[in-house]
Amino acid sequence: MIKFKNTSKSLGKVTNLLIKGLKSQLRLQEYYSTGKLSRSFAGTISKGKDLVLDVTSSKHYWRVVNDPKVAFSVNKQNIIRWMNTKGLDSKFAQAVYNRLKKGIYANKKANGKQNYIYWEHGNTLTRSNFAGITAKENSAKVAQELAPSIGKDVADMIARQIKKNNPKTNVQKAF
Amino acid sequence: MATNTEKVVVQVIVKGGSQLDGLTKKTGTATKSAGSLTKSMAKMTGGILAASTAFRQISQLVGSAIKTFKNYEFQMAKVKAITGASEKDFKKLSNTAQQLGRSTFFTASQVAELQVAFGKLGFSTTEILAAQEATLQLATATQSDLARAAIVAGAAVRGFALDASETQRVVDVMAVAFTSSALDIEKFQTSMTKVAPIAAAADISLEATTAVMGTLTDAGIEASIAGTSLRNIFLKMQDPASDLSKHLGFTVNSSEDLEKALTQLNDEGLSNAEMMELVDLRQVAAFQTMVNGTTSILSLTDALEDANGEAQKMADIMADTLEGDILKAKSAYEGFELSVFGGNNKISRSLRLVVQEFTSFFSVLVDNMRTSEMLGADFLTQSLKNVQAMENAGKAVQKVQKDNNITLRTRAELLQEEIDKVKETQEGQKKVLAIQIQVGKGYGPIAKKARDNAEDFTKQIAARELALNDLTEILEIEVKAEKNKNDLLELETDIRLEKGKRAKKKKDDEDKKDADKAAKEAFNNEKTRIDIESRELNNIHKELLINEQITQETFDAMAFDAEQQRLQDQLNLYIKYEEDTSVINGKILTNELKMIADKAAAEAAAAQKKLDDDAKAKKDRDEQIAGIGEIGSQLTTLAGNDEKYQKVREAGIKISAAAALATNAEALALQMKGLSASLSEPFPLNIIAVASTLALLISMKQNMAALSGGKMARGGMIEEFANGGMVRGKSHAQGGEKFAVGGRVVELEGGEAVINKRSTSMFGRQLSAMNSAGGGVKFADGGLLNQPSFSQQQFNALGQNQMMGAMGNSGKITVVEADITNSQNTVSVIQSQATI
Repeated sequence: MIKFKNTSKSLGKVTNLLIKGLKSQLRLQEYYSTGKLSRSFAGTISKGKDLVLDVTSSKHYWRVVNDPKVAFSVNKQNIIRWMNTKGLDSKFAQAVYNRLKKGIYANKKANGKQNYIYWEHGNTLTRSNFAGITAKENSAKVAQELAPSIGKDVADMIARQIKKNNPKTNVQKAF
Repeated sequence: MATNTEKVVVQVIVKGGSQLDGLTKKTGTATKSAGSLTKSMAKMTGGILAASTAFRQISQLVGSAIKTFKNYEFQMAKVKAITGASEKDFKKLSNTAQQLGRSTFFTASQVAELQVAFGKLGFSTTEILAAQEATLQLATATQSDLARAAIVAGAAVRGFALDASETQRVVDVMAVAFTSSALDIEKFQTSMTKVAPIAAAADISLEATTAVMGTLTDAGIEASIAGTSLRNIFLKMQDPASDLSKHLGFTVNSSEDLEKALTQLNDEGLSNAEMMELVDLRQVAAFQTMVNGTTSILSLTDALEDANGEAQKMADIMADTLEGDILKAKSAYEGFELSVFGGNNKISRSLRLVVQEFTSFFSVLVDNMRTSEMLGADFLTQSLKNVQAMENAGKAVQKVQKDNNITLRTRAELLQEEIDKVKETQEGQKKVLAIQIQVGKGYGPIAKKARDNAEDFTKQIAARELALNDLTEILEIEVKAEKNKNDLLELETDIRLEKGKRAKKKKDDEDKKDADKAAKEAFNNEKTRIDIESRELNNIHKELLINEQITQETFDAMAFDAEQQRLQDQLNLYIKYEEDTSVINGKILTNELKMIADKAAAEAAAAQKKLDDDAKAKKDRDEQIAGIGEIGSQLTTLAGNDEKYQKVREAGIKISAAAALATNAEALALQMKGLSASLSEPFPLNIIAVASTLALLISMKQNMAALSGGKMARGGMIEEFANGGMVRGKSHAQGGEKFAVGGRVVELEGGEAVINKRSTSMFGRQLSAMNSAGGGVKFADGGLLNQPSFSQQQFNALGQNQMMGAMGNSGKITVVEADITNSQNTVSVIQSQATI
């Protein structure tokens, strides 16, 4: 099994590169009302048969966005945070909370089961595939960043192999 | 890609496991060989490559080998392109390049450059193979660039019209010349380009030329000037008309001639002034150096002719140094590199495999990072490649089967076919995707794999969709382009046809123009011929005229005929060549009219002349008749009534009658002529005309009676007067007695006497006295003349003069018998004329 020692190190740099790119793309799309998504980006490297870098985001965020049920469950602290972000007076947060809880903002035809206004508004936001765009934009840089490291790892592998086959050979580091 | 869409935003997978596992094994094999290689290389290059890591060796080896091979391959491609060598010949060139690359200072790539240089000079493969080793020696010996050495050696071979196999000789000569004189490869190149063809034409050898050039260079003459000067001097030596050749007494047509010429000139010890007379001012320096340096030229020529293998010796000396060793080692190493990439041995295969695995590995890595757009671009590229391949295949088939009329499918058709294929694949993938989605709804690893596959398929389907869109757009563009191409083709066809028409028209016009020109020329020649012939004919006529063989009239007629014939010939010519005949017709008509007018004028002139002649003749005749009549009267008067002179009197009467008759006859002729016209006139004019004619006839009858013997004299007076006598009848106051004398009327009166000539002669004084006494005038005073009855006009005739002459001379009138006889003769003549 090949040891991606150098590649793993490079993946750290790649992580930063991608997170930076993702945040930049969100800002470009004005998709930063709360900053929760941006703040949630993180990279994790897993070494198995393949070396995998996952740039992850907040699960909770996506739950709220994607799951109407979760969205419908009102969280007063979230409302207060949101109002603060928007520069609204948070003393009305309770009133908003109450109205949301009663489903006043909800569509009665949907039997009060539809997402509240926060979700509806958020759902109508024009979001593009910011992750895909970021990946596409940075793929060349990622490859450029990774190639030497992979090369080093392969070189090390070959060097080890040579050493193994020819123990007396004076093998020096390639890079 | 993302396995948890709620969490993972971007995923980077470095897939290396399976691919690199295989790579590890292959690398193991490769490095086993590379290890032994390292040892051998280290030993071979004296430690240059020692102490490198295997990978470094490999990576460096691979990188360097790629570069070397790339360079070499590129050079050899150029060689193939320039020489146009067949595969077999190219292999020979390639092998020799590698072989020379390994065994000489120069690398295979440099040898390939040499081959390119020779190829550019038009050397064939065989010639390159023959020349390249010698050129390598030259480059080694002179430490010059190999390509330049090839150019110089090749140019010298070509310039001196030598065979490529003689390159060794050229190189040896150059090697010796470069070491024995100030000549170097640059100077040699500069000067030889100018002088070589001229020297070759003069059959002056490379050695002799090089020797001269070396001597000139030794003297510090710049190569370009030396080359130009030497070329001009050689030209002068070859030119028999030049001062130099004349001075030498022969032309230089070989190396031996050159040697002879230089020796001769050197022996002569020419001064600068003398040299300036032999060559141009600009060549004097070179010429002087040549002449003065004859000895060194000849010795250098000998040395150059003895040069055999000198270049090889020099190259060996150069090679026998540390630098030479290093260069050789480098070349050998490059040979090794080439053998790695160009060869097919175990090491080559292993190393290439490593590189290929690297490529494959990176490809896999990049594939996973590709978006739908990128994949779509790949699909599109692949599809376009397929289309191109199909197109090429079609063309190849068409090329092979030239005789068969194979119609290639258009690019649009091929694109459509490819689109159909992609769509078909797309449909298949969609079906598979549906299955995968269905399977992916379950749990477990299979479902997960299915979901992954579904994701991949979705991506591929999206990518294919993009590719399809692009392909469709390309197809539309292609269809438009084909349409435009067809339109353009039609337009081009039209243009071509139009051009063809124009060209044909132009050609026809030119042909017509040529034909017209030829016809015009022929027409002019023919016209000139006709003119010349006409002139010649005219000259002949003139000659005839000058020699008085023909008259002027005949000449004029002949000239007219000749001119008309000329014009007629010209007219025929004009008709034949379809020229405007109006001018010629006009000329012919004008000439005819002129001729008619001339004829008419001539006839008129002749008629006028005849009239004038007739009038003159009439006048003369009238005068003669009058004179005769007068003579008759005078004779009658002179004879008087004297019996003795009766015959004279009768003769006088007859003469007078004859004169009157002649006058009357003429008048009658005129009268009769007028009568015929007058008879047609109305009454009474016709009666008057007839009456006047009758009167004339009566008068004539009387005269004729008198002429026939006196029977016609009615009053007797005439008879008496023949011998003189008295006039009886009316006085002058009563109108007098008129007598016709010589066509004139003489008036006497009754009582006057007429004394005949003889009596007057005898008794003139007495008669004069008698006349004077009676109131008349004396005869001496011209009384006869002043007689009122004899007006001056009555003596205007011939007789008057004679009478006047007689009176003037002696004052006497003497008529001798001979006079009468003569007068009678004259009368006879006049009578006969009158009859006529």
